[in-house]
Amino acid sequence: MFSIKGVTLKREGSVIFENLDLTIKAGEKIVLLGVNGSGKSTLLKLLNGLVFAQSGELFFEDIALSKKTLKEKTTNEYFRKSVGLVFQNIDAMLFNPSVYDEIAYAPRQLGFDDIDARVRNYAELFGLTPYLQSVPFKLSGGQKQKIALACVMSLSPKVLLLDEPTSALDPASTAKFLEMVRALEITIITATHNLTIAPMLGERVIILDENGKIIYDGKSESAYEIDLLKRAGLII
Amino acid sequence: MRTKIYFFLYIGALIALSMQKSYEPLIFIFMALFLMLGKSAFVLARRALLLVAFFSFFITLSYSLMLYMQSQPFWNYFLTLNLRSLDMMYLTLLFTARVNIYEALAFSKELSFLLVLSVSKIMTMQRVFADYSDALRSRRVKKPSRDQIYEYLGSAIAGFLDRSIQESKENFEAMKSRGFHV
Ligand SMILES: Nc1ncnc2c1ncn2[C@@H]1O[C@H](COP(=O)(O)OP(=O)(O)OP(=O)(O)O)[C@@H](O)[C@H]1O
Ligand SMILES: [Mg+2]
Repeated sequence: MFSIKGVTLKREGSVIFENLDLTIKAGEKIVLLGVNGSGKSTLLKLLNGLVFAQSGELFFEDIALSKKTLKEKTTNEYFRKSVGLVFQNIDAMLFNPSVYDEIAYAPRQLGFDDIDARVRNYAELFGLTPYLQSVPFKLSGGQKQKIALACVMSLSPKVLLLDEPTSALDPASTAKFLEMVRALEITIITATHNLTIAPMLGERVIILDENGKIIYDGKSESAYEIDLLKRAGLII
Repeated sequence: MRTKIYFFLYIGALIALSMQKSYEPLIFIFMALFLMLGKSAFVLARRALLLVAFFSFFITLSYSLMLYMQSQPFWNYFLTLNLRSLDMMYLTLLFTARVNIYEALAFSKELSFLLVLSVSKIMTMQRVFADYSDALRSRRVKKPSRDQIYEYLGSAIAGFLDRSIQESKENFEAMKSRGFHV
């Protein structure tokens, strides 16, 4: 689905990734761990074609992701329909006058024809039906997070990139969310700090150290060893 | 239809205000707006004043100080700039209080989008401003010294600018991510 080869990425002069290699297969559920500033959000934005590497290759299916290829209308549309990102900073995603318009935004932009059905369906799924006419940025933190999830899910993408998607959810909503992730048969990459729910989010775990280097990439079973988590700086 | 007319009047007024180069008319405009607002005049005036104080007062103050030290005239500059922001803010609050902005903008997707973005910025700023003053209040055990207040305000303003630039960038990324294509 994605293949990253020898990617080096700098932001404002500092190196975030150096010579990064990573392959992601269709249908994988991946958990992305790492301390603050290790580059989780940057990696997700890279995979979403929002930031670009200075060198190396990045493919989504057979599309080489670059500013240039994404300028091309049909490629852009196909890619945006296929890959959805829930931002860590939820507020960045909420800029429409109502929850309804917010959820409808991407389907409208990308020319879907069953917009109303999609909006109502995903609003219902996240318990947002009573808020369809509310102004998104005035709602609570958890409600905003649910809107953001509904916004991205409403595209029925092939790949979901989730950046701390449960940071504001209450326990019941988190449980429902985990259930949903498990039931979906698509590629999902979730960045999280929550080690309690991490094992339920995927069978493949990727751990970044504070320099953005992958220090673990493998099965969930052996990912949560004390020594490894200590080395990643995730526990003390 | 009425809302659209209000909207264009609002935009026209904003542009006219932004071109004002002396402070005298701005004082009259402020008084006129004040009278137009009726009951809510005081509340909105206070809000507008606070927002302006927070965003432009301290910046213009330091410029004025510089001008003063170079013994150049600074009153006109200081008053014009601050009154102008005050009037624009006041007008915006008046407009958003009276007109359902989203209805007013129903005629163009792109325009409505951009305006909603800026309105949400204003709203967020109001909220952030409230958070900041709460933070200041909750952190202070004793009465803060004047130095502490200045230091805090200085970093708060710098933080604000950084934040809104960063936010706009991320807003744009989020739009692109969801299929906005130019
Ligand atoms: N917009 C930006 N411009 C420049 N540098 C950035 C930007 N965003 C992040 N960085 C830098 O990139 C590095 C990785 O940041 P990133 O947000 O990807 O980390 P993260 O693993 O998501 O952290 P967290 O756990 O706190 O969310 C950090 O050193 C950060 O300073
Ligand atoms: Mg992050």
